[in-house]
Amino acid sequence: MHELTIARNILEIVCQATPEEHYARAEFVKVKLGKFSNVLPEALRFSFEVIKENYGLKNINLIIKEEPLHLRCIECGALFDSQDAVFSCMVCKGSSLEVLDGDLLKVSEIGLREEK
Amino acid sequence: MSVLTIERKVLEKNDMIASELRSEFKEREIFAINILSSPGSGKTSIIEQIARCSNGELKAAVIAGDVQTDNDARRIDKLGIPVVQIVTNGGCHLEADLVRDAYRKLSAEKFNFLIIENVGNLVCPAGFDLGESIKAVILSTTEGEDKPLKYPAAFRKASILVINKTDLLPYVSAPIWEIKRNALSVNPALSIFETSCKTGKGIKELCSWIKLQCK
Repeated sequence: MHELTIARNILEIVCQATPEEHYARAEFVKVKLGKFSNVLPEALRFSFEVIKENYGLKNINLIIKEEPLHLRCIECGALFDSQDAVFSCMVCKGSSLEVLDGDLLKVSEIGLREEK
Repeated sequence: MSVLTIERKVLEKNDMIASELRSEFKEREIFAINILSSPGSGKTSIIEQIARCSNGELKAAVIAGDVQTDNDARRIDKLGIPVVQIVTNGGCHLEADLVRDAYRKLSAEKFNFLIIENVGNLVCPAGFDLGESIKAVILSTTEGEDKPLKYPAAFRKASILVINKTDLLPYVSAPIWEIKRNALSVNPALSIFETSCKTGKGIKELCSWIKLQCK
């Protein structure tokens, strides 16, 4: 269950990026989840819901955007995306692939409700 | 609705500590290895074997992570190797700050090879940088030939694979070439070692390789 650690880190980033008096306005945080990041979205959502109030962010929702693996074949140079952790080139079947993206976890957006 | 666009790595805090540790290891000429494996693959037994190879040129220290007990630390301590045990109390992986605190406890010791024995788990530890020079995966022959395909992240991020318990090969259905083929399909750059802690086969080769890295 390392998703609890991940959830904690996401909430800490929201707290750092948002002035404290606006915590109650924080409506969503969007997270990019690479296919190869070893994180289970359901477990992350569950952890997030359980601990968000500890950070004074009771209204915030977690939006997860799953990202495919972006790969580059070192042998033939082909660029392609993969939904699975398959490690052979779709063009030349070579096995030397560089992971360009899709193994990372990033916080990309924080949505704040307008002040009334 | 106003939207703040930020591009921040979720694990940026962990990565920052890991990168400080990495610089410190480099400066002090310490080769640090982060060992990942399932529970029971023989991590501690391999460490014991490597410790026996230690001599003037290879001086080892160990940080051992476990969910409970200090059994591993006690085994390693018996060999006269400096060791710090991290008990994670349920945590499924080590994080860089835990390793930094444990490393500080070793400050009085002189060593050029730091073994970080991660919590037995092939999933979660793969995502956390600990500042290590390389990651190593240990897979025992009884775990099945498809483990690299089932847990690709650990194998993808490792530089070496140690296939342990080769003495049991006659009793398991997984042929070793199939374990190797699957591991190399996930990560063609893996260096592979075959060991048995029971018979000592392959330990010398592994120790020679480590000594080369520590120079």
